[in-house]
Amino acid sequence: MSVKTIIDHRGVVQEATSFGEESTLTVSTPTAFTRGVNATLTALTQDVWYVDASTGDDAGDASSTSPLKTLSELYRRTCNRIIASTVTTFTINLSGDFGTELLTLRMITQAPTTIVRVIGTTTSLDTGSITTWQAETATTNTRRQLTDTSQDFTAYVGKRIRMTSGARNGLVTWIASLGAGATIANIGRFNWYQTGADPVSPDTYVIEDLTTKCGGYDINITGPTSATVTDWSPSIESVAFVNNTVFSSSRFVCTGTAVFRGCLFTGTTGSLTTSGGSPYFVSCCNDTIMSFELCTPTGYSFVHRRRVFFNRSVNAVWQQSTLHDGNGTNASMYIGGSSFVNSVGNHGFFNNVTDGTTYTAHVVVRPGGQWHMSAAAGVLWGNAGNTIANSIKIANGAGVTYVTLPVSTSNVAGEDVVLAAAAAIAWASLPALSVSPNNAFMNVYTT
Amino acid sequence: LAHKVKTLIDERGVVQELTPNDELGAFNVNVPAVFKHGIEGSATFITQSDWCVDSESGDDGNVGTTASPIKTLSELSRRWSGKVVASANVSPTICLLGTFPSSSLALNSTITRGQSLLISGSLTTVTVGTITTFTARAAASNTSATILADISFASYVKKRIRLTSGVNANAIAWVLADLGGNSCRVSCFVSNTNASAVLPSDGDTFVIESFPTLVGGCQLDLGGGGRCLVRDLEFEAQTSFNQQAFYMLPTLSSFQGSGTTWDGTSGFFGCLFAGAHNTPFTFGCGFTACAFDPTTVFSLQGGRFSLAACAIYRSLSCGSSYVALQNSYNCFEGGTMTLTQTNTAFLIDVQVFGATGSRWALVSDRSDITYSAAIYVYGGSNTCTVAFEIRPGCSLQYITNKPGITGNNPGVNDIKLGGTDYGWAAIPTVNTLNNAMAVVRQ
Repeated sequence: MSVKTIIDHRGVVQEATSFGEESTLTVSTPTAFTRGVNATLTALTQDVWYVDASTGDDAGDASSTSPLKTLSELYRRTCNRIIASTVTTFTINLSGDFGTELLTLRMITQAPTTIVRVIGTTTSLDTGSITTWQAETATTNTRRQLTDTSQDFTAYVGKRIRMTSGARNGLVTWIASLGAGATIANIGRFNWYQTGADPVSPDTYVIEDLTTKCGGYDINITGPTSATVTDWSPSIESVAFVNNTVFSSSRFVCTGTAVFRGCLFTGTTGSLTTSGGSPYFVSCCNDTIMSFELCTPTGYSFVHRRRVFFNRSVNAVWQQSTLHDGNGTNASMYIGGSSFVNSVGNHGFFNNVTDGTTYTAHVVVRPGGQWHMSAAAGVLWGNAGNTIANSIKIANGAGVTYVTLPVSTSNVAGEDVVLAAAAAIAWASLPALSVSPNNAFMNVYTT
Repeated sequence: LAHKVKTLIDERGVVQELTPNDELGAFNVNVPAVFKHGIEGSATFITQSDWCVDSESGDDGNVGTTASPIKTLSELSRRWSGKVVASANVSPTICLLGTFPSSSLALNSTITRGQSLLISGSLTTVTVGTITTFTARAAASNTSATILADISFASYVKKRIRLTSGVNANAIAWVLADLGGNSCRVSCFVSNTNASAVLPSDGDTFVIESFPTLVGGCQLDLGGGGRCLVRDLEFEAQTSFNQQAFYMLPTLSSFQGSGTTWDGTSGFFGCLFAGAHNTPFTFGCGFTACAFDPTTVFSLQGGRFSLAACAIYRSLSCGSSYVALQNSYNCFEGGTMTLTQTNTAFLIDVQVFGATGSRWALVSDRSDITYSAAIYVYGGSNTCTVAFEIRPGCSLQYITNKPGITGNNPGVNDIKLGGTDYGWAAIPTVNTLNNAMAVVRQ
């Protein structure tokens, strides 16, 4: 026997010389290894992966019985690899708290039918059934409320609620605040895929905590993907992203319709989404200051419990019903840095308070920014608990267009719109243009 | 059988015993699970903390340390590409020695939060001197910072100057222009450790330095949330190169808008960008105490950038970007700043000297230029026709102080709004026909 090959530190296969006259050992280099080091990496054929921050081991095979421990090891094994075309659904199951580790993924899909899913775990906090359901009517400032006379929602503000029966089974939203009493929850629109729906009595529900926590994300998955809404990929589901540093950045650049579903973005200081991609967010909640930069995001049924920024985000589309409920904090929407936000659905603001001198309105449109409520359903509404100074503040060179006249209220009735340096005016005074030389406007959208 | 192979060392450096196999007397190689997953999966972690590339004494067969450097940047890229810096490797360093004028510094790797990568070059001392008199800049009088020393600066324009004594030793700045008589115009001195602006004192000694290490381009894509600092290198991009890309997640946020202090751990620091540079930087990053001396234009496209205490000797073009020249003391000598394609720029304390042509700053194609503080744009020796040209639909928005910079006909041709010239006394105003405006930021 003789040693035929060795692999040097660069990964290059080298022919070895004899070890001597005595018998030697032949080490047969696995084909996959040879091709891996001499050519490219092997394709990913394992279709289900498990990572458990508590019980995992990075020497494991990432199966359910032998999960990995760290997101770094998950990334090391998947980085820059092609998912084999035989894999129809590439699933990564995440469990536990990964601390400051980012969910980092760079992969390539080979077949348009391949779906990448990242699924977090949830813990059931409570269950119940709907006694009374109140639908939303933006133009009358009537918000969605779920009443369960057997429930006390006090401890569940900020938690996720998921329907468990009826035609709406599986749809989720978030409890934004309490209504008139502990048995009434003010909530967002139930959704999961795209269209969403309202529940009916006596549908049942579960209140959940997202127990999978990551320190952020950096996801870049390319290749053909399906356009079918239920097959959007990659789909990041039920994961809480907790950023512990000031404005940690994240990237979500994918070829397909990359989507976060039912995820929570939280933390003490902030969460920054920055990318050149087009991330989708369905039934997600930000309980931190969240910023979209250099990207084209789309939000369906987003629940904002803190401020949301758009900086240099072109054609950010907020669809269906968007709920801003500060629950006593500032839940303003800030549109700046040449951003263009198109609201096809409505924005309801509740319990929104002043935070400093800049965020003194529900919607702040900074120089070069534009807010476009392009559909009749794109109503700015909401009243209860709003002590913020104004509804809209528009800077020089910025503008807002609408189809349906807003109805939202702020601290003082009639002090609805601030155009540049002018005094606040009422909705009834619209359309309006600031006095020259200032140049802020709010006008009816015309085609 | 006299079996010579008893052990092997896996990629973690762990010695693994080989066990005899069956009755055939062969050996099974017990590949550890981690190793097995590595070879069937992706690359190994980067565990080496000391990296060195030396174009002269290196060898690509070496391990790549300071004691055993590799030779080429492409070999460095190959060893780093697609890899994750091991969590225990908290502060890896890459030292570049020699010169790489035709190679790109290209890294596509992951460095996680809490880790910092330092990429650095070396500097050569050209001469030494002592400051006789340092005069601080004064926006109100349109004057720049100057140094009177015991040497002539005639040969050292566009060179880096570093203090070597005093409380601010090792702070760096750039020689902007030779003013004759052992005097020069100098950019803002910046601390070597935390990037804060500092002032030298009379009697401080200094060195003038040059960059022996040239790098032909830069493509850094470092995901994962860690940090990367690139310092003391000269980048001289070639025309055949693709875009210069710097995408490092925390770097973007380290230069958030106005007022955020750089902590000295990310972006480019003390680097020189010279040569063709007709390929733009994209994605975004911060430049602190850097100099830009491109053959024609230095371009920032489609990202978020911060230029602090930089010396810009030629034209700067910003397109579809979010650019902050914050706490910055820039000098445009014969160049133009062009903002196009919905570019947003924030300016704080920007000096302009020696601008020529039809205007210093052109704001076009739905772009805006906005002050982030009361300290304004000022300067002198500008022979451009107007200081600002604001095209239709664009704006200049200032806080408290109007710009101090003028063109060659002060008071009359200071700013062009939609084709019509105005003096600073006429603003705030708007050209109502085409919606070009210079107004107070609200």
